[in-house]
Amino acid sequence: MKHLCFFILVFSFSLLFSQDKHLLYNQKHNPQALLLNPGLAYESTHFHVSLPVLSNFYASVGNTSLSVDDIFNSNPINSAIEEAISGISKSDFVSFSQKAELFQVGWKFRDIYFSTGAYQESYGVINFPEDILELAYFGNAGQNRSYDFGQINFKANLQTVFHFGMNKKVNDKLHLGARAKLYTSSFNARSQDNRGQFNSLEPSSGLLLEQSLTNLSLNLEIAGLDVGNEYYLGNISMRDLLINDVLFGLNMGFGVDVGLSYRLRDNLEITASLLDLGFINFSNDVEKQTATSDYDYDGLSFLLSSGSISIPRLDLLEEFEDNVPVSSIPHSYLDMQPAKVNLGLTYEFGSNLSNAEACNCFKAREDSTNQSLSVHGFGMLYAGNFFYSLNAMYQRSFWESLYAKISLGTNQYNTFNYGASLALDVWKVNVFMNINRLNEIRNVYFSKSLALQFGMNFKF
Amino acid sequence: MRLFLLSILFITSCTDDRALDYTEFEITPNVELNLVEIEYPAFAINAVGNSIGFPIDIDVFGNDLTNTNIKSIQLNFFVENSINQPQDISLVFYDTSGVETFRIEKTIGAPSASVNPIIERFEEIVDVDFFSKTTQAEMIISQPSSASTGTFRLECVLESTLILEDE
Repeated sequence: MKHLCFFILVFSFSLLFSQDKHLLYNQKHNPQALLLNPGLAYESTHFHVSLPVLSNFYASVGNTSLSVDDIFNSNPINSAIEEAISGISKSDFVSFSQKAELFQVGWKFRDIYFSTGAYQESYGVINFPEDILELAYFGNAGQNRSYDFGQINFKANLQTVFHFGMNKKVNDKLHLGARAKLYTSSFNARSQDNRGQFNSLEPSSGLLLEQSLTNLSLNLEIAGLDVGNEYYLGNISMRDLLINDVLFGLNMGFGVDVGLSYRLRDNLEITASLLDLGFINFSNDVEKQTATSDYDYDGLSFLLSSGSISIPRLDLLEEFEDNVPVSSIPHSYLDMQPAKVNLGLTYEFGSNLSNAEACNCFKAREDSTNQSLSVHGFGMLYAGNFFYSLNAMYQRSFWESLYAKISLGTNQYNTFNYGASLALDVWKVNVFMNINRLNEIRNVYFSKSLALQFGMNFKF
Repeated sequence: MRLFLLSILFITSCTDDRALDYTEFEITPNVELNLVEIEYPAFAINAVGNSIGFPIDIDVFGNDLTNTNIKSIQLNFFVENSINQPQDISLVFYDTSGVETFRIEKTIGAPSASVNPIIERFEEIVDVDFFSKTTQAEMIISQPSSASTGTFRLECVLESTLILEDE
């Protein structure tokens, strides 16, 4: 740290309700953007630090089919829910994610900018099992149909991530970066690759329905925090949970982020990053529950033939337990992290009015542009569901102090959304705010997802 | 912390004034479940004194959850009789102590020369409160000793409306 002229203390109060981070991506003045692209062309500082707990809290919830208005509207709630269930398909899902940065430090050594830190995060996705929802809501009476258990699909994970990254300016055109990650998971649950059907069909004769389970194979894998056995929630504090189990899980894994930014021309830059290429090996506190069956159910059957007069006592519950066995065994498994890809293309133009000392503040600088047009694409595959966003953005800076950005894009929630970003860098204070889904901000009850992020930096 | 609260206020203020009232929300699925099927030839009952019982354990229904979450119960019957004598059917329900809670009785007539077999469908609505106390049942079928030919078949399907509501 040869030059300690600038000491940037980053207080980042970031509250983000969305998985969209396009407004933060490639923000070269913000060290938080290094977590989205370790190869960011970061406007180098000598040092930065974020305060524990107070920096970068993030929460997100969204789904592909429902808004608050779909449930709570002028119709009776039961009618609204019935209509909502009718509109759901098996490809719809609910997702959530949450992230709290514990600490982050960065420093420059020679021509490499190092950064390290830790954050706690949780995420999950649940597909709407359309058939099962219809079975639960309407029942099977008079339906004369089959219900597909293969639609059951969900995954959730709670982990803490320790990371160490490097960002290097290779030459005037190229920045490269990489980040190593150590994952410690305290809880994981997944139910995937389920199959089978429950059939309830009208008979061709008689009264008994053709009820059966065909090719049924359900599984649930759980690892980590065993709250039911180890803790009684009424007798422990959240602090105990966080420190003992949530922050430092028993199951570990490794991953890596890589990224680059490359100037194709003086005013054209391409950026790309691959994040969370990694896995966790779950081998502690693991359990797998399975249910398998191939079973035709005609009710409790007393079919007497000639000479057969022995009448057993049949038990309805035993009948099901014998023919739909459920097993539970310890079972280790490997779970892949949801890998993410970011791609960006930025065209810079315009000229910056200098606010540096000994200048003519109305004269354009030749070494700095003040406007850019960019395109950002994001993709992530998780639990068989594809998350994506595609955004076009325009950014303008004023006197290298005020940065304004607007975006227009679409994502997996299948709606267009407008976003805006504003950053103010004055005196010793840097404040930024990113708002997504501006078109629905007037009434969030019509929205399927929300996005707000803001942060405050102090520069010394 | 002030910025955190400010963001919460920012989000919560961008809504209209509708009431998010879900107190009237309830789920009432209608379910059908095959319950029992019985088939026997005429001489099978004669061999055991002209009356036979088919016992079944249905303790899965005998609990407070039944009383809470079942709105109605109906038993649907299908019988087909080609035995040359009428069949008396008694479906008797008992609690855990063996005390009768309720019963259903029906006589199925004998076939005639023009109508053979006799086919009947009938329904019986069951009191949910009685059913929630029931853990066992027995289908008792009796016939005159002169029954000599034919077979009897009975099918029973349980139809119920469940109710799951916000409390």
